[in-house]
Amino acid sequence: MTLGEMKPGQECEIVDVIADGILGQRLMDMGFIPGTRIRIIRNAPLIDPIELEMKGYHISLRHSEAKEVEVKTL
Amino acid sequence: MSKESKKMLVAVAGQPNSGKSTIFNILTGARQHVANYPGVTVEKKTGSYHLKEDTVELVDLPGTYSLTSYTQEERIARDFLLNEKPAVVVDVVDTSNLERNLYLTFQLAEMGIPLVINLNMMDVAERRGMNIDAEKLGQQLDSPVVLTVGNRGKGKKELKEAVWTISKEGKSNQFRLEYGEALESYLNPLEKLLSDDTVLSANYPLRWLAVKLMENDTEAQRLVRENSSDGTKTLNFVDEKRKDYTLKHKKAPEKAIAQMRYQVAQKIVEASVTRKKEIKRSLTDRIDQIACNRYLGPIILAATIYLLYELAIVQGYNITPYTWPLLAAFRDFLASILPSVGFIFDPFFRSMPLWVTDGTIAVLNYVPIFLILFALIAILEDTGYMARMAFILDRIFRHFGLHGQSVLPMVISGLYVGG
Repeated sequence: MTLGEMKPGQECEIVDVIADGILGQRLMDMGFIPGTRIRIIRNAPLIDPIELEMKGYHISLRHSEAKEVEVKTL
Repeated sequence: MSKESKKMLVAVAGQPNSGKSTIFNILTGARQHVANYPGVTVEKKTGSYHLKEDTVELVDLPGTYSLTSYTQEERIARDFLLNEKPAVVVDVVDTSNLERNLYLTFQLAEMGIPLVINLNMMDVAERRGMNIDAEKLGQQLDSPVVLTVGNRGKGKKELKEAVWTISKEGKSNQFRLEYGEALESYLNPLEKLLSDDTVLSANYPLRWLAVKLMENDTEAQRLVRENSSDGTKTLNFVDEKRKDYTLKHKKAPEKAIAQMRYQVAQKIVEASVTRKKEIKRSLTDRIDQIACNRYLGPIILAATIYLLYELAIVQGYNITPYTWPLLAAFRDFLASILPSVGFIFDPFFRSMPLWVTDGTIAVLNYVPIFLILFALIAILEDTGYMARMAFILDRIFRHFGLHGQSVLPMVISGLYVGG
């Protein structure tokens, strides 16, 4: 499943970054690396973007970006 | 020429929000010059300071997470380091996000330039329960480590000293990130091949170039094509190797490289940082629960913007009846000392200064509004609420092709029109 499908409060682990090119590179630069654990904090009031916690910091992603990250639930 | 002071070029690099600008400011003080990088709208801040007999020319590079060639900021930072060859790079690190910041540090180190690792925002890191063994960290990165709290000016002297010391040593950074057997078996032959090329090996750090080529970096490819006599052959070799790697390991080399960088970063952090329980985070989390709440969030946001309007525009305008007489009095005073009014035409030396004054005080009349508005915006920014506004509004702004960060220009222009 992808990160875009995760619900607030859930935790997951990154399996792969699907996107290539600039989006894929940027996600990897920000620490979206296989094996990294992610906790979904919340959705924005209009559902998009989502706020995540990983590697001890918080990051917001749009759903369109989050669906480029393949994850497995823990 | 013997006793003349030397100029030393030093670049300040770092990820966004690492407090890089603050460090740049405390190092240079008021001696700054802001321009653009040639041909682009990316701001270039330069400044200088003196230490001992040297003048240090400081350049603030754009804040970037990485040094790929995908964005203008990254290309600028990279080209500057490659072409201007600064004597030292100060790598400003947000200590509380050490692992992610090291990802950039590695790429800077790979370029072979002597680094000073500046662990900034130490106060935040300490509040989060991080205890850092700076010496150990420095040993692993082959660079001096200086701790600072930028916004309180702590560590400024030590940072200047470290830059000076390392520039006098004049040796390049010996840190070498090992990408693991699988990747090294591709990187080493490639580096060897590049070293046969006299132009490339004279001008560019070859290890860096090999890694970038393996990452399929278009700017690195361009460097090879333009500088190497048999660039096409080299690029074909790279292409073949990339395909070979992808086939063998079921993964693009650039992904494996990024992964290795993070793996090494994690290892270094584990070796040099011990964590106690963090104290402060829970408060931020609780505030966020309210400020970003589904229902309360938008209400608080609307109230904040209304408050901004009420305090800056409405109340600011209410101050103008008190400030205007001062401006008018100045104009009257000026009028009284200028040549007197003519019968048909005013003398030029009267009308000219008065026009200028009228124009100026018309603008100065709005100063109270500006002062209040910018003070309030500074508060929003410093408390971090601006980022929450961006989070809440992103979904709406996307319709206009903007992102949530456009909130500030939108709010300001909205207030002006509204006011």
